Amino acid sequence: MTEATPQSSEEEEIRADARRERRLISQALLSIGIVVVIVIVRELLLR
Amino acid sequence: MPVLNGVETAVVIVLLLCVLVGTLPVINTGLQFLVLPLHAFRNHYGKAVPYHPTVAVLIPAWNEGLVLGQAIDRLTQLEYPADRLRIFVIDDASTDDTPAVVAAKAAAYPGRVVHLRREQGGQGKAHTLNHGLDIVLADDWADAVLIMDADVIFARDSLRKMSRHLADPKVGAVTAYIAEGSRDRNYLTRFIAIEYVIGQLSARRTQNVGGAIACLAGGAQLHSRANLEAIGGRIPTGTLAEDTMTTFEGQLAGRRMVFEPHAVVLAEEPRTIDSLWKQRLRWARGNVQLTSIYRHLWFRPSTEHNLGSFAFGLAWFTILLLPAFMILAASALLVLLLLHSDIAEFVFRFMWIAAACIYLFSMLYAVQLDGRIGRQSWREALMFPGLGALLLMAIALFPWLFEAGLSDLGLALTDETRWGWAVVFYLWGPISMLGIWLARTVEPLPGGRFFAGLLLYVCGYGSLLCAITVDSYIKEWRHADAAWIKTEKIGRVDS
Repeated sequence: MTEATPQSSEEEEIRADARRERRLISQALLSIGIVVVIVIVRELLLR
Repeated sequence: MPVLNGVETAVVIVLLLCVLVGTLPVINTGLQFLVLPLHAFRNHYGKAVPYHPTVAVLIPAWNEGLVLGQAIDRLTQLEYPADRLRIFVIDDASTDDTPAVVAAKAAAYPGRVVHLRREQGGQGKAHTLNHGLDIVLADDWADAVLIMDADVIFARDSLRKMSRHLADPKVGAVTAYIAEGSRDRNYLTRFIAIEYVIGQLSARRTQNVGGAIACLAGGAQLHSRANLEAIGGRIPTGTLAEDTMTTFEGQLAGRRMVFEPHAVVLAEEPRTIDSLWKQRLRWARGNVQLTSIYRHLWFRPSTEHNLGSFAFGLAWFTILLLPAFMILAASALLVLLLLHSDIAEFVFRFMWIAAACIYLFSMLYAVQLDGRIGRQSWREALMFPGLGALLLMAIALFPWLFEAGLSDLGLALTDETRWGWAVVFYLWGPISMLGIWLARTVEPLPGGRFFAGLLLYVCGYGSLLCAITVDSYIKEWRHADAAWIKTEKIGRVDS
């Protein structure tokens, strides 16, 4: 079995994973932005 | 819009409410993905610290000779202190080479791998696990117990990413992200991969936010000793969904459950509709059983746990009752069509435009949550609702294109044909479930796999899950045999 990584590395890993969760916000904004653009295009086509 | 008298108005309102109830699953999906970004702030990382408890790994195994060796090898390669991990294989009276595989691994990793043999097997996973738990908990060595399946492959950093949450004594158990990991994927495993992204990376993060977890994945659940002892030191045996019941019992005992999205565990998933059906039927029947067992829990908020919250109940019942809701909405739309076709058409378009927006938002979001799966399975993400539902969304969004297309084909809409199309459109949900039943029927026939796949792409993966849920209603209602049916695994996951 491999040895565990050093304590400091693991602490940094936890902080990094917490930061990675922030990506959920930009991913949500991108997804909802695309939907909004499609809805606007549809409305323009309807006119 | 027509002018309605009092009775007509009341009838229309009731029918509209039925349609609204029918759209609850779509609304729930939208809410799930809208709440998801909150996990950036409401998560457990603030209380996680490096923590390496002594872990007893329990692997229930019945004829797992093809996959077990690789799983054990991978466990020995985990980035985790070697002296803090022991592997217990609970051999459920296997008749293949499982005992020989375990013996070879015990010799290769002396003191690390233990073979526990049950001479009377076949009672199911919970009984097998309890055999191991009796032995592991009788000794005070283990601070925590990792329950896993014999075929799963843990990423090297996965266990320590799970155990860091157990540093918080309020946390009773942690589960990982089970990702579809077959090296030779087919259309069905790609659909399952997307389903797991939606059902885990999205739904379980949302459950983290809400403070109530529906199910710790049976393939990777790390329990603290205290949590297991609080639920009696046993895995519940009275249901087909023992992992979900264990999850509920831990939370009812006052402990928090955590989903760790960055701990990745690869699993081999079914490659045929029939084998997927058998696996999911067991899960669905288990959920029907649990709905009854915990009937005093639903929609009753408690200060001790969040299982009784409105949001959790809504998510639970929209999945459990999805086919019933679908049929209710279709029936209400049909009656509306008979009474007031213009109102029916308006409601139909509104419903499918909303569904299109939520589908697009959720799938665009889902393919970003796991880049590997997003790249491999984007076609299945696109086709998740099925070609039929996608056409309905397109028709609702761009009705003039549909009418122009029919005219070009010499099938211009008349009052009669408009009515006929409406009936087909409104009944698409139930029709798509029948299509899935047909897919399962033709699958074993010569050339049937192609047509089964074609039907799945047309009817949608959601309809497949709905059809299985309907089957679970029928089987539970008939008290059909609930014997544990093992999902065949032959080692398609690369370590």
